[in-house]
Amino acid sequence: MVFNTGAALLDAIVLAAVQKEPDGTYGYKITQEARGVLELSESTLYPVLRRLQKDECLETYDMEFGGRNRRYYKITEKGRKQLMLYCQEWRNYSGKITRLFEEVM
Amino acid sequence: MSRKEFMEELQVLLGELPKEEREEAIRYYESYFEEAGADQEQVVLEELGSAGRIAAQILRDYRMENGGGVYTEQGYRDAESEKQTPVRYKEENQANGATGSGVTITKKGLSGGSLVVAILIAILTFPIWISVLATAFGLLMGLFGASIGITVGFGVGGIGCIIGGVAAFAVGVFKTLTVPVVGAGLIAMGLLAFGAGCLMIAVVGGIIKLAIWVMKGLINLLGRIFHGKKEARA
Repeated sequence: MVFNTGAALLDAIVLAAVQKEPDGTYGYKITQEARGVLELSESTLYPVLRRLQKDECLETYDMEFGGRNRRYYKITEKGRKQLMLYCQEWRNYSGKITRLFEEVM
Repeated sequence: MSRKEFMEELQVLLGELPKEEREEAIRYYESYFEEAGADQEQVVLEELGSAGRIAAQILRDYRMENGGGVYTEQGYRDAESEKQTPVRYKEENQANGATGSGVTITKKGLSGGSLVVAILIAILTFPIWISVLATAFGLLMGLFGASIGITVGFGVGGIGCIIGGVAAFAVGVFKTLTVPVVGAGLIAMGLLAFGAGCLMIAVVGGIIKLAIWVMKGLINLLGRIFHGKKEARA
C-alpha cells in the first residue's frame, strides 16, 4: 500500500475483525481478515494481538478444535468502547480527507 | 527455509524472553502454520517474512513494556517517549460524558515522541531563549521602574512647582509695591512654575489612568482564560 498503516489503525482493524465473531476468533482467521483490507507483508499480527490483550481490549480462551487446542480471541467491553472510538475518529478523519480529495478528481 | 527451521530460529532469537512469553509466541506461530495447513507451508513462510524481523518486533515490544529503551533505525525509543497506542478510551469520561455519543476522546497536546524532541530543542537552545527571556523580563521591570520613577518624580516635582509658583506669585505681588520690575518678574516666574506644576500633575494622572487600564485588561484576560477553560470542560 502507498500509505502507512499506523499502530492505531492496525489495532482498529484487528478489533473490528475480532468483534465480528461474538464467540471469538483465532489468529490465523484474524490475519486473513486483515489481509483482505491491507497488505501485511512486513509484519504479522501477533504483536498487535498481544498488545491488545495486555491492554485488556481482547481476552483469550483455549478450545479444542480438530485434535489440538486453538486459542480464541474475544473482544472485551473495553475493547468495544475502544473500537467505537476508533470508528468515530476514522469517520471524522477519512471524511475530511475524502472531501478534500473530491475537489481534486 | 522450512517451517521447522523457521520455528527453531524464532525460538533461539526469542531466547531472552521469559519462558511464558516465549512459549506463547512460539505457540501462536505454530498454530498459525497448522491452521493454514501443511500444503500452505511455503505461502505462510512467505507471508511471515523473516523470523529475525518478527523476533525483533516482539523483543522490542517486550523491552519497551518493561521500562527499557531500545535503539532502532529511528533512534532511541522507550516506553515513556513513545506510546504505541496514543489514544485510549478512558472509562472516567463515560461517567460524566454529556456528549451525545458517550465517547469522549482524550488527546494529548503533544505525543510522547514530539514532547521529548521539544524538551531536547528547549535544552539545546537554552543559551538563546534564556537571554531572550532575561531581556524581556529586564525590559518589563525597567518599564515598571520607569513608570514609578516618572510618577513619583513628576508628582513631587509638580507639587513643588505649584507651591513654589504660588509663593513666587505672592512675593511678586508685594515686590511690585517697592521694586515693580522685580515684582513683575517674580509674578511671571510664579505663574510659569504653577503652570508647569499643573502639567506635571496632569501627566501623573494620565500615567495612573493608564496603569489602571493595563491592570484591568490583565485581570480581564486572566478571567477570560479561566472562564474559557471552564467552558471547555463543560
